[in-house]
Amino acid sequence: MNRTEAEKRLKATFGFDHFYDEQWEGIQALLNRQRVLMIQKTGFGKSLVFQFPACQLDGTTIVFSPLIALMREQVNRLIDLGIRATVLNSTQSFEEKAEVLKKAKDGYYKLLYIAPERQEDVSWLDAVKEFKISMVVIDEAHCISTWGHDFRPSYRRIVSLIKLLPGKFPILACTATATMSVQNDIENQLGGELTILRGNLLRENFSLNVVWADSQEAKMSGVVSFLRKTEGSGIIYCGTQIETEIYSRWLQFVGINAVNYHGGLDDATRRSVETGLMKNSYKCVVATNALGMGIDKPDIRFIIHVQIPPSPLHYYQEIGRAGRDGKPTKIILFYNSADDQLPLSFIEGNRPSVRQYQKTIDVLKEESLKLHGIIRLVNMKQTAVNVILNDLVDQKIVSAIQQSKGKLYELRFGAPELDTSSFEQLREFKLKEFEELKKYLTSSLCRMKFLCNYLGDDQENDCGSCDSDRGEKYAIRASSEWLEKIKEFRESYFPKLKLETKKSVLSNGVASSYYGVTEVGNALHRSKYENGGDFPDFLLRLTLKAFRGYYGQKKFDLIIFVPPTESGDLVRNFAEKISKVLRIQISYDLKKRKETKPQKEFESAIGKKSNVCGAFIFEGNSINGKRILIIDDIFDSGHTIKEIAKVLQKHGAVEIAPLVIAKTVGGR
Amino acid sequence: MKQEELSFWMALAHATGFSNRRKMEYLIQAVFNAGISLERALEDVKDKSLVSFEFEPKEIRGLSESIENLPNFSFLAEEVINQNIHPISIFDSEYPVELKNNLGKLAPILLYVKGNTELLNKPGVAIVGSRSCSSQAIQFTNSIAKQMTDQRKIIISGFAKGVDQQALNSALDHHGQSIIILPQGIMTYSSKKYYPHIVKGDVLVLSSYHPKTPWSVGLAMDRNKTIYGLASEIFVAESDTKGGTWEGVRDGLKRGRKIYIRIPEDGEESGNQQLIHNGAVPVDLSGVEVTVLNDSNSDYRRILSDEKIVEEVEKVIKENSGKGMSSSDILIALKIDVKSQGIVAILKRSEKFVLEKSRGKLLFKLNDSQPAVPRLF
Repeated sequence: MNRTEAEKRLKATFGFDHFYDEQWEGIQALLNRQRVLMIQKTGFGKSLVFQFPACQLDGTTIVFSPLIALMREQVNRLIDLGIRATVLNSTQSFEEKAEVLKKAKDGYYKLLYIAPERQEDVSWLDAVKEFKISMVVIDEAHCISTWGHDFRPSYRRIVSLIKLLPGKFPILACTATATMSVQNDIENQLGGELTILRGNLLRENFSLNVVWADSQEAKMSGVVSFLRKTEGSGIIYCGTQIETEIYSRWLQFVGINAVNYHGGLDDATRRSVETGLMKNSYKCVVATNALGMGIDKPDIRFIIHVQIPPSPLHYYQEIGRAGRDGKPTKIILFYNSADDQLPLSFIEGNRPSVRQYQKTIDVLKEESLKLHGIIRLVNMKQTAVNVILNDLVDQKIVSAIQQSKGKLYELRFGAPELDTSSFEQLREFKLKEFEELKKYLTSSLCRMKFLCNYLGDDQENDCGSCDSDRGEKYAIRASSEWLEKIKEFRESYFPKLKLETKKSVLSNGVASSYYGVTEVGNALHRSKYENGGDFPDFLLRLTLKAFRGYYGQKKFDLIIFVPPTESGDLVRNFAEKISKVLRIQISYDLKKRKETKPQKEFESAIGKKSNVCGAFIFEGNSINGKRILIIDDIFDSGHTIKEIAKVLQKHGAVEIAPLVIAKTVGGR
Repeated sequence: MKQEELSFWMALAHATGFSNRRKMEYLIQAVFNAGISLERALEDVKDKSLVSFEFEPKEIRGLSESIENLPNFSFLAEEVINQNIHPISIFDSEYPVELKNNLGKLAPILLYVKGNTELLNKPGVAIVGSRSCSSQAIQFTNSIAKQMTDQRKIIISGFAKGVDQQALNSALDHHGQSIIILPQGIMTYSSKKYYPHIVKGDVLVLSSYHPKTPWSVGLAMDRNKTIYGLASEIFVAESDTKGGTWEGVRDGLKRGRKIYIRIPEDGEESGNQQLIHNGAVPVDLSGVEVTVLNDSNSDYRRILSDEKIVEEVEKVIKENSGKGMSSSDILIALKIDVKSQGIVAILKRSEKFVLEKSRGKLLFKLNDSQPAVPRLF
């Protein structure tokens, strides 16, 4: 098909008159059954490069994409154009999926979008063998590269699939962010003859800025000032899930319409936030980088980072989704030197020890196991076990066999020894990348030029709109008014404890603060571990405030405190004081019937659960029909409270509500 | 094979309308002789610009369908590799030489294995028998498995109940090694029990079928071929007078394999005695050959390979002072289990005999003329 003919068809189906030259180059290669890697910036029109040939080829094009919201949007747009497209994802019901698969087997669709994780799904794998497949597309192909900012283990199987596809079969891998090293890595991994199409990555409408903040409070105030004088809506990126919660509450506290978003939220909540963002229902969404992966909004007017990302590649990717409409867009990075800790801790500390790897290998010598079986036998956190298993699969020491329910892990016969040198290489690589980002902060170059050069796209001209080019550099410090305001916020903001289940009378509860974020944690630590005496009165005041804020005028019949493991009578004395103020009777009848260890000594949830299982006994007067307030100092996994609730429910309690001084940041 | 070639091998191995023999002939002509990759050969099936293999219509239909489905085979291949299943093609050095030698063009062109591939080219012993069998058979199996294990031979098991399982378990109990030949696709197999042995390298699981094929009676029969083919020695613990073992042993004898069989107890109701008459070699509990008195009056007939038949007929005619013999005379003299048309066909194929018509009867005589051997002078 020549270009004239193709553009005729383009007009008829998609309504455009012409392809860009670079689009046509890609389309031509695909129609000639080649393998193509395309690196083009956001907004270039990558999707047409595969959507057009998909409509010309006989059969169904499979598009792997991690962006559920983006897939939904593209599919809707295609359907509007009269092109038969669909998406298959984890949120669909069994019946919906079966319907899609059936129609796909019948050859109904021209394009089928699917998340990479599906490549591990048994029903999908069984069905796809009956499709007539015309082309395979890998969106966000940088996820293939372990050197990239966003390596996803689920892409591993896509890579091995690509390697096995015939040489003369059209494949498109595309991304908006790839440095030369990532590009080389993708080339190596995909194998075969790859046509590479690399475009220019400069985003003309961006105004990049860095703001040096002398404290966390300065950042908090700076963000508010910026939002108050900026039009449109946008995204604030934080480093942790907790931080998104704190920042969104803080913005709400000063009257800004903000909401938080992270991977730990349930699907419905996430989707409602995504929809809200699309409809401009919020001034801003405060999010972890889980959000960038789900948004296709043309008019994101600003992106603020209150936490420095671990590399310029991360940064380019996260800001990349802003301003797709080409209108002026503000990009701000707030930086305080203490922020280095978080990325550095990820780089330095997120690998389990070699001993832990060996332990996992050893249990797999005896039997093949699923994830939970492994966690139970090795007593490690699920996150650690996941990291270990991913690495072991990567190094071909273990294979993960998909079964209808979960994966079964098997040790391979003749498996190679664990190679830790690759971990070390990766660590050094990441450190170097982080140093690059630190250079971005201090560089006097045009910031856009800096990023493009880093990505391997050499720019000659300055963008003219970043702070460097404008000759402006920003530094802020919080005024005393702001400090006062922030203190007021912190004393009015109480983390919720999520404990409700259908079966239990245990309700959600409240903590006065996060452990480790404010002064509260230090005070607790002094009393518990440094012989600092009773918990200080400010903790009592704050906890009572949390109680009133959360429970309001709610009535309780009895206070019960959690019997101590190692810190003596601190909780008992604290509970007595609360009992006095709230005028609720206190009971001393909840006892321990066996020794338990401090919960913090257990890594896995399963370990924590069994530590406290059957540990409590209630030996008092009847609590039949009573509403009980249960008090503890630190709330972590919630297993202790759940176990106690079980005992009290058996004795007839009708409501059990927790009140604690602090919630750990890692806790639920 | 290179991993990237797996899809092509699968597409050929699992093409329909195409016997293994013909696939092998195609491979020899298209890949081995023509010296091109299987990928190139399959690309060329339509044009025949590189390879001019004469396909039957149903073969070309089956193969074209396979080629069309190559991307689908790639999806399946990816699953195979992800499950730590190792594919071995007939051209790979890991492919068991014994299997190739014993089965010739019937040797499966693609094997799927899991475990220690070194076991494939070590001397192997098959111990076979029925699913439900006597305690003597179990005892025999255990005894042979132990001995063979002591001699560092690999026990080849069909993984069925009864003798097969016993052979496998005895081998492992005596710290031996074993190959499991599956009567099903390898992806439908899972076993907690043998997992640690696979990890340690003492067990290899092998299947030559489409990885997702479920177990079936047909495959259970078919895989006997692979069991016998892979083994350099074959022991039969017990056979019924019908069923897999029975058919398998008779087929093996027909191919000229030496097959040892447990000598039955007096009055035992197994097919062992009959198979001994058919040509299986009786052995005692420790595997030592036992001579049985030749009860020439019995009606039992021996099963011999074609070459062996030719050899024996030659001997009998010589003993008959070179006089011609009719096919029925030969059958009576040899006591073999072949129909009279069968023997005629076999002898006609051989150049050692000539047919003479005498008094309305067809008689076989020795061919006195020298066979046409190419000479230099």
